[in-house]
Amino acid sequence: MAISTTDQNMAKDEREEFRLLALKSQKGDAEAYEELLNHVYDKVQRFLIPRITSEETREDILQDVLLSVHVSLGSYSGKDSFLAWLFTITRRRLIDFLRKKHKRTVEEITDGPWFELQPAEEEMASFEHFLTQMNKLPEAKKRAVELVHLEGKSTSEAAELLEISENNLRVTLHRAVKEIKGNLKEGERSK
Amino acid sequence: MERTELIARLKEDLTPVKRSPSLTLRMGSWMVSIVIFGVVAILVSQTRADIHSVLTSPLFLIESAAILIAGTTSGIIALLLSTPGKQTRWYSMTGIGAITAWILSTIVAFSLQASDSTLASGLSFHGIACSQTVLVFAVAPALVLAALLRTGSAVSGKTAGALLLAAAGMFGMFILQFTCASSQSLHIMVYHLLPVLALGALGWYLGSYLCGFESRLRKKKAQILGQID
Repeated sequence: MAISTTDQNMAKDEREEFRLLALKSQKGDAEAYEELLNHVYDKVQRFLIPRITSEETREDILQDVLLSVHVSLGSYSGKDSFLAWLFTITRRRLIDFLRKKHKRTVEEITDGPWFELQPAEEEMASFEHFLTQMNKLPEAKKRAVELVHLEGKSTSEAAELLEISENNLRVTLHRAVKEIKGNLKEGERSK
Repeated sequence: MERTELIARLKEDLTPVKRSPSLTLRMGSWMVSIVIFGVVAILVSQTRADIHSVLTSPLFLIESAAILIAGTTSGIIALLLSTPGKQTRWYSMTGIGAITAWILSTIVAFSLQASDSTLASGLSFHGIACSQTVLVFAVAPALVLAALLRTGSAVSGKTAGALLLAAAGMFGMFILQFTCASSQSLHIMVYHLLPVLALGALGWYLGSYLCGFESRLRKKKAQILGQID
């Protein structure tokens, strides 16, 4: 799926806006900081919604992220992407929170196609492309991906909900993810 | 806590922040400190009797270079982890390459040395002094690296902590290359390498405390929300 030039320019403006707000906040500009935190809240909330179904858990993680931003503000260099900085913190706090509260391994949480090693900012963009491709899948495949990769269900839980065998689920998931990745790569090539 | 209230409290708590020293400065400080500590360590220690002959041995040079590179890059990766958003990929590959080179050279050396008598002497209890040396020489680099990490925000505290202490341990292991007379691979693996691995494990466990980010976050949480985790 190609990203339009307009979208690319808007993304650049947004990045610059975040950067300037962060720099002003570092200097103690309270109004700029309030605006920054509101943008951060919206951005991170949107990032979390497909991953965490419980609103209460999302609110806890959001609170954790905002506090982490508050404590770490001095570590933002001002030259690099603020969103990359933010999403590194967000991703880490998400993993730590879920690990602590739900005792799940990092592999269970990050075992999604978009969690492969990529810069945090690209991860956000590619995750949104991932969602677009996922929604185009046939219902059975889409539901399998949603349950396991977005809602964090184990394969046994998801198989039970879908009333299929675990083996069947694994095969469905494998094919679904392969299809999504193939479509994403085709989109990259056509850029 | 509600969004508006949380943001209002954070806004009220805002003061001009002191920006962390640049990553370049911190990495440079780490590397300079390694050189200084290395020179001092070698000057105060008694170099091995066969130092002149081993310095011409390719295997020795590969091992020493690999340990030095692995230790330096471990410290650099820890510093990168204290700056959210920075990529560690290139340094991770360099570090892994160095460790692989060291493992391969050790296996080659071991296969050339293997016999019952070398196995027995390689595991001699006198080797414990080498382990102690690794730990002693790890202290100064660990303190410097911890201080540099604490000026950043190591959100991946455990990983940063493991790399911090492993890097410090590898420095000790590097010094031993010039002071320990034993070239037996088994001795090196047991009495030089194992302390480094133990330090790495300890660093993983203590990472949150060593790097400082989690304790700052906990204090701020208690202050802003009146909560303690």
